[in-house]
Order: sequence, then structure tokens, then C-alpha cells
Amino acid sequence: MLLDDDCLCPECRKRVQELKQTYRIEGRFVHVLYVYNEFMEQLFFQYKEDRDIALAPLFLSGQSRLIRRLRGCRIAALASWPEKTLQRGFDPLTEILRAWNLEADRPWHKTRSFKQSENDPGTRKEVGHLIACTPDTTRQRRPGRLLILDDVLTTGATLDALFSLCPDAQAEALVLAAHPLWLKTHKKDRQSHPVFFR
Amino acid sequence: MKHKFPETTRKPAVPDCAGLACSRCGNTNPALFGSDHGIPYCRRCVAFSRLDAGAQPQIPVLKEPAWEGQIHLDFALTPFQQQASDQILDWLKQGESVFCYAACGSGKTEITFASIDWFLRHRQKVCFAISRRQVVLEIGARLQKAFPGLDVVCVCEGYTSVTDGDLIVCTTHQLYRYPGAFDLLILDELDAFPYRGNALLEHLAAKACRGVKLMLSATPDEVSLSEIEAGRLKVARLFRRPHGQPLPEPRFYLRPVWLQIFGLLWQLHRMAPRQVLVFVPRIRDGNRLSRLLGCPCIHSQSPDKDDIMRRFSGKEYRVLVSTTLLERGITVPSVQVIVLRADHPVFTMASLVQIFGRAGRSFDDPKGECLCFAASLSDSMRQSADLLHQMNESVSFV
Repeated sequence: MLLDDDCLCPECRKRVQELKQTYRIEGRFVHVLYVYNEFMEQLFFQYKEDRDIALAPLFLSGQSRLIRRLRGCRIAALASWPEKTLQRGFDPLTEILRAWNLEADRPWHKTRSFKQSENDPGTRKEVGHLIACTPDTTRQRRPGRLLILDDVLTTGATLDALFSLCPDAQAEALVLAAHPLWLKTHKKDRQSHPVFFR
Repeated sequence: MKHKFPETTRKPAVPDCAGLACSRCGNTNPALFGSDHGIPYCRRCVAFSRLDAGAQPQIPVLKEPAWEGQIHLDFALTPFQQQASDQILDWLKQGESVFCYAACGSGKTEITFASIDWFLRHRQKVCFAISRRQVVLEIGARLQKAFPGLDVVCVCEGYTSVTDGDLIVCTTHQLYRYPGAFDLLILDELDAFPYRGNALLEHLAAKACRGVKLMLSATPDEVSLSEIEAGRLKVARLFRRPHGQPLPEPRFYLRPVWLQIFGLLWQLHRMAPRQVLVFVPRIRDGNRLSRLLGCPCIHSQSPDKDDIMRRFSGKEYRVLVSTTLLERGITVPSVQVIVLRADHPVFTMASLVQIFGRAGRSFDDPKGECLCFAASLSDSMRQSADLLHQMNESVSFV
């Protein structure tokens, strides 16, 4: 803890609601770092929509133990829609990881532009039909257990789709922030995982 | 938000930002520039959308206003309002920016109508900007009623799908959309949060105006006062309310905090059945007092603010406890005002003047009461009382 170098000021750190909780959903472990509260929503919006790339380090700031764990994992994430990446100028998850010398594979991609926040809950559940595997015979398999990474968990539809496409039955997921409604719905699925956030 | 990179991370290439200036907000502080793979961008105004250093904000293409109607008012302006309105318009026509120093409840919004009318008739672009979102919607409705047939567009949080019309009413934040757009920019309550002391918003307002500014306030800040004293700003004064009665001046009761509650209870009993607004410095003070009095409390975190206000205006509650949330912009006929712990730092001179301005606004009850309970007489209390007294002294009454 003393060696953690937090790039959030104390006032901002107070507004972040750290959760560090693991859930077991249909046999899969989903690890949640933060609650997607109003402040976290503002941070993500400023980062992704206002394109404030300088915010990239703060999502894993102060999480040195988690970062060390991530170094031992094979991280995989859904690729953003290419036009969106072009418009934004950067890929949000790539930059978050790059700030901490981490990388992710992109074994999945969206077959069309789809923004969760622009759709109602019913339509959001259809996102699974829009995700496909990206063939990449040249990708070197990094060692370690597969860890699916996503930034915000709202309905869980995207994560469900990624799990269904994932060949590794032991794969787990890390989301940076989960919506309070999802947390409330899955309260019964809370687990005490032996090592992940310790 | 602090931003630095520990040794374990890869530091992004931060270009030398000395000498850079943001063309939208005027930021020249290198620490407030970020870097996107070597491209510097301003972080001070990034919440308004990112602008890379060296880039220019998009200049909006706005429609030319079309207005050939007649102003509609439910009541005629008083001779004093008319005089202020005429003086303001004369100065604006001469290319002079004007400060309208008008007491709370004096009808300062209505005295801007003639100026708005003149600029619109000459096909010049006008904007009415104010700090608070809720007031944008209220002012927009009043302007629409006063200018029937005019396309009055409100631009604020939640109302940004349409950003152009014959007359734009917006929050000061939204001025970032309109660099160099307005021939007449009306800035209301520029001494209020968040505009006051906010260099970013002041810069956006300055950039949005290509002509003249008309500033409205009952409590001018130090900058405006110094501009007035230096003769760089014309000032029109209006300290008389339409009903012709003096502005309510506060009475102070100096008591220890624990005795103030008893004083409050006595005054509430004495004032019955009139409605009373009780102002407290902090949310927790309000919550405790509302439990004691058995009445609602309204503050920034209240989830049902609109409902509480509707019920208070509908006289379902006689007493409403509030923080400084209600110090501005609300008109409840025949309401009396009591301030508890008036010596608390949150009650600045401007805040107290605005709070006292809630009382005595209606023709039916023009002599509202303003009472303050405090442990000691603060400078703000004394200054607010002096100011109101000076305003009353400067005019004659019926």
C-alpha cells in the first residue's frame, strides 16, 4: 500500500467506490473493481467520449497488486468498432493497459457499430449476435489463464457473449466498473475468491 | 484531478507545452495540457469536447433572427423600469456594454425586453445566458410569452438537440458552442455559482460575444464594481420594486445557537398563517430542523425538489427548510424569510441579499419580513443590511 502511487487526488479518490468483489455467474468468475457510480460514469465519459486520453492511467491507479496479477494473465478484450477508434483516435482499453505496461489480445470484434448506452435494456441483450471471433493465425498465445477484460458492465450481455465464444472453459473476467443494478441483481452470486483481489 | 505517472508505467511522450494556448478557453498553463501520442490538447476545457492545441473551435453557422412582432407584457412597466430600460437601450445602441444593478424582485428581466426587441429587429443575434439550468427553462418560457411567434430555444443540460433559434437562452456553460456568435449577450446572475470567479466560463462568455454585453445582478462582484468605478462599464440602477414598497430590510437576533431554535419557534408561531422559508447553512442542519418542525427540507441532494417546490407554492406546506439552494430565482407570493446561523461563512453578503430578496415580492403582500438568528454579527450580515438600506434610501416610495 505504501508503494502504491495513486494518480487520483484524495478528493477524487473518495468519490470512487472501490468494490473488489468476485461473482460466480453460471460457473464463471467475474471480478469487479469499482461500482459504476455517478463519478465513475463522468470519468468514463470524459475519457471515452471527450477523448481525454490523459485519464487512461487512473482506472488502475493505486491497484499495484491487481496489476501484478494482470501481468501473469493472458488478457483478452473485445475490439472497438474501427470507425469509432478512428474517430476517437485511440482504443480506450488499450490505453488503460498500456499506461501500466500491459497488453491485451483482441480475439473478438463487433460485426457492426453498437453502443450499449444508446440502446434500451432489451436491445442491449442482443449484442451477443453482433460479436464474432477474429481469426488471427499469427497471434502468439501468451502464457497464463485467459482473463476477459471489459470496462463497464451494465446488463452483462456483452460478457455473456464473450464467455460463449471463449474456448477456454476456465476463463475469468475482470470488469473495471459494474452498474449498481447489475450488482443488486447478482448479489446472491457474490463469492469469496481466494486470491484475485488480495 | 492530480495526474502523474509512477515509475512502473510507460510515460507518454509529453511535448513541450510552454507557449501553447487553447483557442477556446485561453488556457496557457502547460500543466493543463494533455498529450495524445504527442499531440497536445487542452484539458481545462476538455469537458466541452477535446480541442487539440493549435486547432480552432468550430465556428457555428447560426440563422439570422426574424422578428417583426410586438412585445407582449401582462402588465406595463413602471416609470422607473421604463426609464432603466430606455437608458440601457441607448447605451447598447452606442456600442457600450451595460451593467444593470437591480434589486431582487425589481423586474430586471422585463427591462431587457426592449433591448432584445431592438437587436432582433435589426437581425442581430441575441443570447440570454444564466448560470442555473432550471432558470434557463423559466426564462425561456417568459421570453417565449413576451415574444410570441419568435423561435426561442433553450440550450442546457438535457436540451441540446436544438442549439439555434431566433433567440437563444442557455446556461453559461453552453456558451462554448457559440464563439463570436452574439451581437448582444445578456448575462444574468453573473455573481452566482458557477460563473462567479470561474475564469473558464468568463472566457467562454467573452469569446461568445462579438458585440455588447448586458449584465444583470442585484449583487455585483468586485470585478464588475471596479469596472463601473473606472468608468469602463455603464450602470443602470433599479432599486424599486414594481409595487413601490421598500425592499425588506433584515432584523438581527443575536443568540447562542441553542437559543436560536427557541427564537425560531416563537417567530414561526407569530408569523402564522403566512408561509415561511427557513434557511440553514448545511444539509444536515436542514434535515435535523425539518424533523424537529415536521416540515420538508429541500437541498441540492433532494431527489424530489420539483415536487417539494410545487407543494410549497401550492401552499401544502406552511414552512419549508432550505439550504442556499433557494436563495435565488424563486418567487413565492407572501413568503417570509428566516435565516438560522446567519453568521455561518456559507451566508456571504450576496447570498443574504438574495435570500432577503425572496420576501415582499408580491403586490398583495409587499412588506415581507426577513429575520436573522446568529451568534454574532458577521461582516456579511452587516454589509447586506447596509446595502439594502442604501438601496431604499436612494429611492422614494409611495
